[in-house]
Amino acid sequence: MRDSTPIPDDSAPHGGKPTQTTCGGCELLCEDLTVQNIKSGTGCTVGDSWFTSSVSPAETTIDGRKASLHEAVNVAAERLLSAHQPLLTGLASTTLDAIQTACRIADYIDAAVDTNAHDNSCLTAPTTVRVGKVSADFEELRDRADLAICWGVDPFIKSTRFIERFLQPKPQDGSRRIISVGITPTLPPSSHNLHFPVPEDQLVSLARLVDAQLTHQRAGNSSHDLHTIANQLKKLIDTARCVGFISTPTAETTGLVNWSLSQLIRSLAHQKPCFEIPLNQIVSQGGGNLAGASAVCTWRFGSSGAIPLASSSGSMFLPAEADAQNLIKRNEVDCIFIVGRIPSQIKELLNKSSDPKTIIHITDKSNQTTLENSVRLGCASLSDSTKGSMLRSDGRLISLRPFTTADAPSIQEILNQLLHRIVADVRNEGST
Amino acid sequence: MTEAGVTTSPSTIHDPFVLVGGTVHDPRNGIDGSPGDIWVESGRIVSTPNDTARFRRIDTSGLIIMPGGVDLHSHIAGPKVNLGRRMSPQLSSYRRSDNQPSAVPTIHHTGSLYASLGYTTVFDAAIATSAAPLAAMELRDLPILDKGFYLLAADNAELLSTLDAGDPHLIQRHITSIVRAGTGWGVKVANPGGGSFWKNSRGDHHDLDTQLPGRNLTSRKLLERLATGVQAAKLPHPLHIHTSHLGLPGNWQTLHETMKTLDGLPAHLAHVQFHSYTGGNLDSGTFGSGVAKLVNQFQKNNTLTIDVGQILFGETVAMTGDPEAAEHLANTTGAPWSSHDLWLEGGCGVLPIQYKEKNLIHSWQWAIGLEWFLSVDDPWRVVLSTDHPNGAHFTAYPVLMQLLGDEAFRREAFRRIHPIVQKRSPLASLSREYSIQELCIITRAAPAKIAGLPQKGHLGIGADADITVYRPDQQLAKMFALPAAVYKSGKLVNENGHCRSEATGHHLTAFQIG
Repeated sequence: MRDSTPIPDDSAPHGGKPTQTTCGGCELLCEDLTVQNIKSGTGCTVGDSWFTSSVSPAETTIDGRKASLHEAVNVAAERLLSAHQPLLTGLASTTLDAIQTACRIADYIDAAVDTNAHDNSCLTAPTTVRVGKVSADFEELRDRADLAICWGVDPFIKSTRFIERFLQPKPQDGSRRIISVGITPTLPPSSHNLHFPVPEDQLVSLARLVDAQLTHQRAGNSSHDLHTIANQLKKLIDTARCVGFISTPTAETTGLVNWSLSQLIRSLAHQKPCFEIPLNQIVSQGGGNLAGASAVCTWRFGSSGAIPLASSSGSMFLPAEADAQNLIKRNEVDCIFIVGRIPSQIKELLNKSSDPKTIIHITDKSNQTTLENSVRLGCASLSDSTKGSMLRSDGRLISLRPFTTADAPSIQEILNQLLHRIVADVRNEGST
Repeated sequence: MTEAGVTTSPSTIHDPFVLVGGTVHDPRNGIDGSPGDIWVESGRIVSTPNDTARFRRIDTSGLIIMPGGVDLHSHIAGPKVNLGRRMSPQLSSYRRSDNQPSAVPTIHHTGSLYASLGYTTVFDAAIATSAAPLAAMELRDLPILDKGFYLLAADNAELLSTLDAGDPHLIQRHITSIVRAGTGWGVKVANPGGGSFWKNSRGDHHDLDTQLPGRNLTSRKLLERLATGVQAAKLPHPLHIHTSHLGLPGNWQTLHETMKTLDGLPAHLAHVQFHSYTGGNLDSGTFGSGVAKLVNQFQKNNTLTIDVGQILFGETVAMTGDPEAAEHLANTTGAPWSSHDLWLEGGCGVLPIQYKEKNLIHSWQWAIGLEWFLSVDDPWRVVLSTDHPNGAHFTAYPVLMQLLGDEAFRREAFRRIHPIVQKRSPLASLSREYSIQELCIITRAAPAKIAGLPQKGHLGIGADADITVYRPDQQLAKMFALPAAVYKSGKLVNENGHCRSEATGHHLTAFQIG
C-alpha cells in the first residue's frame, strides 16, 4: 500500500497527455518517463527499484515503538545535539532544498559530513586538484561527439538508459563511432563500433601511451599489443571532430586510472573539442542527486564531502580520512544522521558494526534502519510525491515531477521542523 | 560606538536611529566630507522626523560615513566557483593560521567578509542561463548582502540565432524572456561569439569581424545588436562586456575596436586591465601598456563605463565564462584546468594562478590596472574591481584603495615590481591621488548608478539604509579594511570586524519574480 493517492488526471499539466515524471534513482535523472512507463517497467532496474521502493510507507518510530512526528522530532533533536561525533550522510535521494536544510543542521550540531562520492574516499587527492577536469553536459556528447570512447566502463551495467538516451541518437551533423576500451564491449562490435580488450590494470599505461603520441613525447615501455591499440586509437582520434570519453571511477583507490585519463583528455582538449563524461557507477547512493549533495556541500562548506567538521566559514577536506565509511569503520562517529534513502555501503557497515550507534533517519522506506537506538522519521515517498529539483551529474538542474499526493509530511517539512527545534535549543543554551 | 569585542544587545541593532555628527561622503547628493546626521527608519534613509525622540542617537562624530559598497563585477556563486573551490581546496577555507582569506570562500563566508569591508551589494558577473536556478539557490545562502547576477545570455544558441536574424523587436523580446526566466539583473557577454568558435575548434582566437561558424553573424554585429537589444529591453544595467582576446598580447586593439563599435550605445566594459596589452601576434610591438590610446577613446565614448579588474600579487583562482582564455592560459602555464561545455550555452574555464611581483607579465598587469584608474578623468565612469577572484580577492580592495589614494605607498610598491616595467610603464609618471570622495564614487556611487540601482550608492532620502562608518586613518588600507560599523537595510550587520547579524539580503532581479 502506498502512502499516497494519485493526482487526478485533470491536474496533469497537459490534460489528456501522459503524466510526465522524473526518475531520481541514478545520476541520469531520466525526465523522459511517464507514469505509464512506471507501471509497465522503465526498462531499467535502478529506475524500477526507485519507483517501487517506497511502496510500504515508513512509520515514525523511536527505538522501535511507534511515535508521533512531533515527539520523534524532539527526540531526534535531543540526540543530535547531545552527540559528540555526529555524521550527516545519505542526501543523494533528496532534493537540493532538503540538502540545504540538512547542511544547516550539520552546521549547528558540528557534524562530519560525507556524501559518499568516489573522490572523497580516494587515497590521493582528487584528480581535479592535480589535473583539472574537462567535461560537458550529456547533451554535448549526444549532439556533438562523432567519436565516443567508453574508457573502462560499460554504461549499460548501471546507467542503463545512458546508451539509449545519449549515445545511440546521431549527432547533429553525421554519425557517431562508439569505441569501448576495457573488459566488456559497450555495443556489439561492428565495422563502425569497435572494442579494444584491455584489462583494467593496463588502462593507465594505455592512456599514457595515447597521451604521449598526442603530445609527441617519448612513450614508456609497454607491451606490443598495447602499442598497437594506442596507435589505432590515435588514428581514430585524429579523424574525429569532437571526442567524448565516458569514464567511471575504478575500484583502485589511488585514482591513477582517472588521473591518466584526465591527462589524456586535457592534452587532446587543447587540440580539438574533447571532454570527459564521468559516470559514477561504483556505488549505490540510494538516489541520483549525488551531484546536488556535492554542490551544496561545496558552496556551504568548501568541500564536496569527507568533511570532519562542518563549518560555514570553510571546512577541512580529508579524502579517505573523513569519508563516511572510514569514520564508521574507525568508530569515530557516535550518531549517524541519514537523510533520505540509506546508501548500500553504509547500510552494510551498520549491519556489521558491533558498536551500537545512534541513528536518526528521515526516510520513506520502512526497512532501511535497525530499530534499536534509532529514531526513524517517516516521510512522503521520495519517488512519486516529492517536489523540488535534483542536479544531474553533468551539472544540469532537473525538476522532479510528483504524480501522487502524500498523507505523510515531506522530507523538507520534517527537516524544517528538526532545524527549528535545534536552532531553538542552541539559542536557549546560548542565552543561559 | 561600542568597542571591539563588546556584545551589542539585539535592541540596539535595529532602526530607527540617527547617526549624529559624522563626516558624510555622499557624492551623488553633492556632499563631500561635510558634517551631517543620517536618519534611518524601516530600512531606509528618511528626512529629519518631527518626533526625533523615537530615534536612537548614535554618536559618529570624528567618523566618516559613506553609503554601503557596491561590487559591480565579482564571481561568487554558480558552478564555476564550486569548481574553483574543488580545484583549490587549500584556498576554499579560511586560513586561520595566517589570517588569510580564502580565494574562493564558502558562500556564507563570502557574505560575511564582504560585509566586514563595508560592502552591502554584490553582483556575480557570469552565470550561464542553464546554471541560473542553481546559482539563485546558492545566492539564497549568501548572508547579509543584496545580490544579483548577469546572465551569459549571448552563449545561448537560440539567442544567437535571433541575433543572427537581426530583427530588433525579436532580439529585445528574446533578451527579456531570458533575463526574466533566469532571474537575472543584466546580460553579460564573455568573448562575443567565442563559444561558437570554441566548440568547433580549440585555440581559434578570432577577431571581431570573423563570421561565427555556420552563421552570418560576426562578433562585432553581435555586440551591436546585443547592446541595442539590452537597451530596448530596458534592463537596469547596460550590456556588460568582456570582449575578445582576454589576456593576449596586443589585445588593446580588440578593446579599442569594441569601444568604436559601441559608439553611442550604453555598455559597461569589464576588467579592462586584462584587455589593454600591446605586443604579440595581434600587435607589432613588445608586451606593454595600451592604456593611453584606450583611455583616449574611452573619454570620447561617454556612454561607456568600465571596471578595471586590478591584479594584486598573491595566489588565487582564475574563473571565466570565456573558456578560450582559460584554455590558452592553462596551456601556457600547465596549471590544472577545468572546463565544462554547457549544452548549447557556452562553458567556463577555471584554473589556479599566482601573481608574482618579479614576474614581468604580472608586473605589467599590476601597472596597467593602476594606470587605467589614474588616467580616466571622470571617476563616475570607473568602478573599482579586481574581477574577484581573477585579479585578486575582494578582501584586497582596501590595499587597492590605498594604492590609488596614497602616492607614496604606490611608489613604494612600484619599486618592488619587475625593473623593466618600472622603466617602461607610464605609471611611473602618474602622481594623481584619489580623494576619499573619489574612492567613495568608484566603490559606491558610480557602481550603483551604473548597475541601475537608484536606491543604493547614496545617502539621500528614500535610499536603502546601507551605510558604512569608517574611522579616519592616514593608512587608507587600514581604514577601509575595518569599518567601525556597517548597516544593511538599517540593521547593524558588522561592528569593528565582528558580525552582528546575518539577515538575508534580497535577490535583485530585473523583473519581478513570480
